[in-house]
Amino acid sequence: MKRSITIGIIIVVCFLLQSTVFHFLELAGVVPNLLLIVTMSFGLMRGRREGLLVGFFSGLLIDIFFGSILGPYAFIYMTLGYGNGFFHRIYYVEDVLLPMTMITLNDLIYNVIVYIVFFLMRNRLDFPTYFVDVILPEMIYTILITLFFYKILVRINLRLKRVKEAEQL
Amino acid sequence: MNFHDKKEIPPKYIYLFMTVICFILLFFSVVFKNRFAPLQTVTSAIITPMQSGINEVGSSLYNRMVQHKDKNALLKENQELTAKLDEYSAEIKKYEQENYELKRLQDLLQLQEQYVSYNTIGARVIATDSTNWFHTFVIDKGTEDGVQVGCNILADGGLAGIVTEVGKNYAKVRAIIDDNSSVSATISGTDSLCTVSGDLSAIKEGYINVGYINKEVSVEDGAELVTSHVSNKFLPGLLIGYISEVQMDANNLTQSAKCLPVVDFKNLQEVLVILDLKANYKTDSESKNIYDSIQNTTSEADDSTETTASESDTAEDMSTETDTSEENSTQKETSEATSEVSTEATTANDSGDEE
Repeated sequence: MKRSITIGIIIVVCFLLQSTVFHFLELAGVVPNLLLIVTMSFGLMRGRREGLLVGFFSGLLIDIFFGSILGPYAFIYMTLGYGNGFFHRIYYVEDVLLPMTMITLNDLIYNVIVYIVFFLMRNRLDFPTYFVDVILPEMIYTILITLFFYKILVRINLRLKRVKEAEQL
Repeated sequence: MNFHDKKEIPPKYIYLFMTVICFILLFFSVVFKNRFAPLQTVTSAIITPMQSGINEVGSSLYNRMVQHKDKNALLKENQELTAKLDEYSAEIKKYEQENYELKRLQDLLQLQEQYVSYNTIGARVIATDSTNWFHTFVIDKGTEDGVQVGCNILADGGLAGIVTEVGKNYAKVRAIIDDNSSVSATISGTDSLCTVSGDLSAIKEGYINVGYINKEVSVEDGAELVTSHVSNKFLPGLLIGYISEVQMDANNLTQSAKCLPVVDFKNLQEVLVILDLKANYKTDSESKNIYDSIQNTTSEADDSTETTASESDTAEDMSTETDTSEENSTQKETSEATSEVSTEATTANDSGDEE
């Protein structure tokens, strides 16, 4: 229970940061995708189940606030969270390379899907421009943020684990 | 959501289950539009106050940062502006005289005053799209303040967007630079219609696309682009931006161009909501509804020169307009005009800019 409340708060806080304050810190006209970092982190740290649930609620929040219809972002984030869960097996706490590789892949896949669903379908065929203008900057910025943000999430996760263990004893 | 129960459902099934939920949501939100309003209202009731709080803190910090950084630049700008102000006050004198003459001639012709002053309220931008693909933002006024879907949004004296969704205390706005946005426009000075559509790759370079300009029309660089009379969503005569780089399309039937929007979308903090809808817009007492006014558009277009002329009421309005438009375009970060003042200014702006 404590765990789900904490995660809920993390998701809401990240969404708020992403939609408000980070717009003052734009680089190359993009904001980092904090919610994707959260989804990726929990997928890695806790496995498929939690990854997909965290992803679902993150995406749903975006859908509710910025989507014209409900569902697409929830589905994309959920699928990514679920996919990340498969790498839970090779996850260990000190590893930095794995989350970095994962966030790069995640952000790439996420943006390509968004491009295909929302842009290619409307006959916007100029993928290279979109790649250079949107996808690449977002990837780089997100990776940079992950360096710091992931550490915080790992720490929160460890704390939650300890609290849980203490409760069980 | 206890993740460590002994009897756990395999994640595979949860995933399938949630996928089904996603598609059900998708289906229902497409089929029954606006049925999810309660869900959105509940979420926004929780999130929106937090957003406006955080945004306030963030923007005040940002403003402070900008102020400190650009002090020298501002001083320099101030000097330039003072010089410009002198220039403009001389110009205003000239316009005053012309305006007086115009008034006199209008009285002679007994022209009908067709200018409708809009009801507006000021609003704050509290959140911007969290994805990097779209340009939508959320403002802190909703149905409680009379905002409805379809309300036009102004900023910096120009058209910024349109309300696409509204809740009790918030409204979602699609900016005109959004990839999905397209606005029917007129090039000021001509009667020719064109379409202004946002483009994600174009706005990265700072402009929006203008298409379907009649090939017969010769357009100069720097011509003003205003919303047209034929649009059923946008009120006529709102300034969109300035045209540049006009070129003939490959089909040799239409021309296309680039448009530099007047609104600074990067630093959008305060906007003005026009509470009047185009659907209820009446050009004069005779036209009862939108259909009448559409039928009237041809005659309207002919009258457009007279209309715009009669729009600027007094010389005082003119002076406010010049002052504030200058302020708006150069000192967006620092100028925090109250909604009343900016209401006046923007309406004056619209009228003035059309000339």
